[in-house]
Amino acid sequence: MNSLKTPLFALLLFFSFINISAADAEKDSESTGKTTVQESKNDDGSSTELKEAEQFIRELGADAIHVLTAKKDNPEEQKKEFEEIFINHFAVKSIATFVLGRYRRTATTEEKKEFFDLFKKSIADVYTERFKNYENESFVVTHARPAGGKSTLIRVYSEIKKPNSNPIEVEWKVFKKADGKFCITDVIVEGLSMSTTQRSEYSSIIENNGGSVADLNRILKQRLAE
Amino acid sequence: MKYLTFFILLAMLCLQFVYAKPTPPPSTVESSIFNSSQEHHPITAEDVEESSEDGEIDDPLEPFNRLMFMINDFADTIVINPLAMIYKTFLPDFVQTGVRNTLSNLMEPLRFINSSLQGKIDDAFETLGRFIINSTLGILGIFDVASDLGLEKHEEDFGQTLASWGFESGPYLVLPILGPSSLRDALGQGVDTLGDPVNIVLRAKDKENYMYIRWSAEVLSRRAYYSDEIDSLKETSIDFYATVRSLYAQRRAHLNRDGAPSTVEGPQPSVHDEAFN
Repeated sequence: MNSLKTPLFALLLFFSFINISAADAEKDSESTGKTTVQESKNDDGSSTELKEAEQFIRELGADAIHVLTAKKDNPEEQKKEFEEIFINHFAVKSIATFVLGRYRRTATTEEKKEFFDLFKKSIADVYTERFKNYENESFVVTHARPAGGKSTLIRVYSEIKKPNSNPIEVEWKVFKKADGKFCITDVIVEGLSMSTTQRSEYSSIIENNGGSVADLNRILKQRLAE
Repeated sequence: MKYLTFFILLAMLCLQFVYAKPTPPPSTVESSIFNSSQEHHPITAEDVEESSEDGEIDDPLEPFNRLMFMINDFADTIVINPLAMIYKTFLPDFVQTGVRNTLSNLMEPLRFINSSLQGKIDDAFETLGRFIINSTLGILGIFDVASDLGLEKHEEDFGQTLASWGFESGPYLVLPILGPSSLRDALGQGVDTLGDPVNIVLRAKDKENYMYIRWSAEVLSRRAYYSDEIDSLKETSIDFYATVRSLYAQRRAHLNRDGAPSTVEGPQPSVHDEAFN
């Protein structure tokens, strides 16, 4: 073991050297990166929009937690209020378009209209059920940044802290509507997107049950009747 | 005990790396969007339709996988979940946390190797620092002191190492008992089991039993920890198999990106089908 010590230390020292120089290089790029962001922020006032988006999610979180805790003994009412929150704060049309994916192209207008109604009814349930686990937990909005790419979306980052658990990172994709209100297009929990999951599930249902949106509608209807 | 000074020095070195490490640099994405907003092209419903998917993985073996999934689900319902419920209900929370921390600490040597193989020297040293601190100050890993000191956990496995070397995921696979995987990740799991330093030590000392105990504890602890999430997913899914497949693909993509946000666009503002008006 003694004979091992020297080469190990040499190796460590070598790594530490690489490391420090790499860190310096990164620091340099970081500072330049920051200034460009700063400048453009002043250009179009995105900074205030980011703050507003954070505030929107903060309020939504408070509302949702209120519904979860205050209406605990009345699941019917809880569900209703959650549905209301969902319809008012989520871009339901955009989400419905995304989750249909390529099957949207072959569907008739009637099928799509029926799908949209069924989707609105079933998706609120899905969100309610999945977020129920987070009652009584603390919800903190940490920061927001533009989504990047072609998109005009803003990503708002938040953390849900449960006792005896690691904090859960929840990312909200939001945008500001023409009327100045914010709207959510996706919720991403630890890298898992609700919209993407929904889309995968729907396309699997369609593929395994006849291949059309009418088949999906039939199954969604059955499910809601249960 | 004579190696104690050596370990402390090593831990200090590791800490030094971590604290010298700058806060994550703002992604290049961040600086580019502000510029792109000026020359922004409207996104159409067709773009949304075509947008590539994180949650998609080839599944040519779907009939076999569905069968395997059913068997696993059955085993979960009659054995694993009931045991996990007993574990969750009767053991105090701090014990469950301790078990989780200990099991996670045993994974650190393997994470160290995989971080190194991926060329992530910072992460490797952070992981090594975590292992040393938690094994000593954290009393054999029961307490995650390292996280409190700001040393972050880096979940790395050989599947991710293969991904970082450019290997595609290959077809989706549902393995008996082990559950969702892919050709690449199943291979990774095999290599990890063989190459895990903890397993190597146990095998060398003829203590293979401990390997099975550790593995069982891992299954039980994880099932108990995620029980609420699993139950609500099962409850709300129409096609549970497809949901799990998508979540698996997204989870692996997320790990391969090391937590960086996905570039998948998802639903877009004011882009929707006319029929939904």
